[in-house]
Amino acid sequence: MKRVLRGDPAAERALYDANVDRVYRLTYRMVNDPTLAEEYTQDTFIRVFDRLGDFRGEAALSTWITSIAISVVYNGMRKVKRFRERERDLDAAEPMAAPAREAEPDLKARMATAIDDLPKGYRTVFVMHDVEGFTHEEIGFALGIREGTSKAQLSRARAKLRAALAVHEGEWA
Amino acid sequence: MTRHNDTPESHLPEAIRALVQEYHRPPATPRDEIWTRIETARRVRTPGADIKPDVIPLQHPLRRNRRVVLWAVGIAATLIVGIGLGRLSVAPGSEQVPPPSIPIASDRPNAAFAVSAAQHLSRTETLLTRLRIDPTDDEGLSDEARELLVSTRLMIDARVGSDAKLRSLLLDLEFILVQIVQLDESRRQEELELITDGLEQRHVLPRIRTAIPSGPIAT
Repeated sequence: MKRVLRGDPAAERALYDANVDRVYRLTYRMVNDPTLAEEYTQDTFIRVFDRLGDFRGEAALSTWITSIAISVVYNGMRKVKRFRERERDLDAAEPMAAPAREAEPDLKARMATAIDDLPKGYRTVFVMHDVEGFTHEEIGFALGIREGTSKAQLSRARAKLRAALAVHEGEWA
Repeated sequence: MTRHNDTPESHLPEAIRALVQEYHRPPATPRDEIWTRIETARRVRTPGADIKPDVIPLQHPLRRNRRVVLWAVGIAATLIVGIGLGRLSVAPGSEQVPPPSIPIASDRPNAAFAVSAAQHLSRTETLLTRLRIDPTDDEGLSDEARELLVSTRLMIDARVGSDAKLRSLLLDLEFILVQIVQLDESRRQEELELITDGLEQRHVLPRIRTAIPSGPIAT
């Protein structure tokens, strides 16, 4: 880390290589868009290199980087949401054909929709823990919440998913 | 990677837990592409980084503006020459059947245009990246956006009608540059957010990068 702080390019690249997969995977899972995932990963590491001098070792470096990634993703998603709402407002002014009824989605698609529909906090904890394998300690630090809160949110997220997928119970029971 | 080590596993059925791994499954990380962009963005933010410590950087605003104007004039001149050559190289009445016997001559204006376009897009990418990374860094922003706006309009008016992607990109850039030029100081934050929202939503920066050919840009 001292070498990174001194601006050693090889050390910067090594830090990046050690953490980029984790950051990219998490951002991709959160946004499901390769372009946005790349942009957010890029922004995360720019901030990491900017703020590395502020890192005090209160958590593992990788966890600290994850907390920055989450912040970047949340800010980015807020902007995307605002922009899409404005676009929807404009589209609403034009008459639209009724959407064709889609075939009943399979369990995988229904599960993805159910996860997408979780409240933001639940979804983040669920994705971090059950999908990407973060511990509650890491999640707590990255999201600025207590470990107990992380566990409670995970439990509620799972309950909501079970309820949403109940119609498919025959497939997985 | 998965470490379900501190929460009971039994809350989700096995079949669901296996499926969960498929949720928005990411592709392989494009490590080198992202790293290249990070390096570019950081260089843009610290323009003196590549200057040797014993060399005094030219910080005077007049010199900076002069550099911007020289760049814009250079690009505009190249564009005008390219467009002019393009028009002169096509004889009146022969536009629908270009003479196949002189492909090299007819490629020259296209090559000149391609070089100008690549330089123009590269400069625009630098400006937009700078804006996106640090919206508070507005030194010379409006002047530079104004120069780029002129070049963008020249390129749109040039013969890019056959390249729908480039034309669409240039129209988006024109719109964004107009917004930057017309930034209202009293609503600066709000307007900057609109601009950066538009950049992200229309994938402007990735489209610019795709449009710029890889390798060094000829000058």
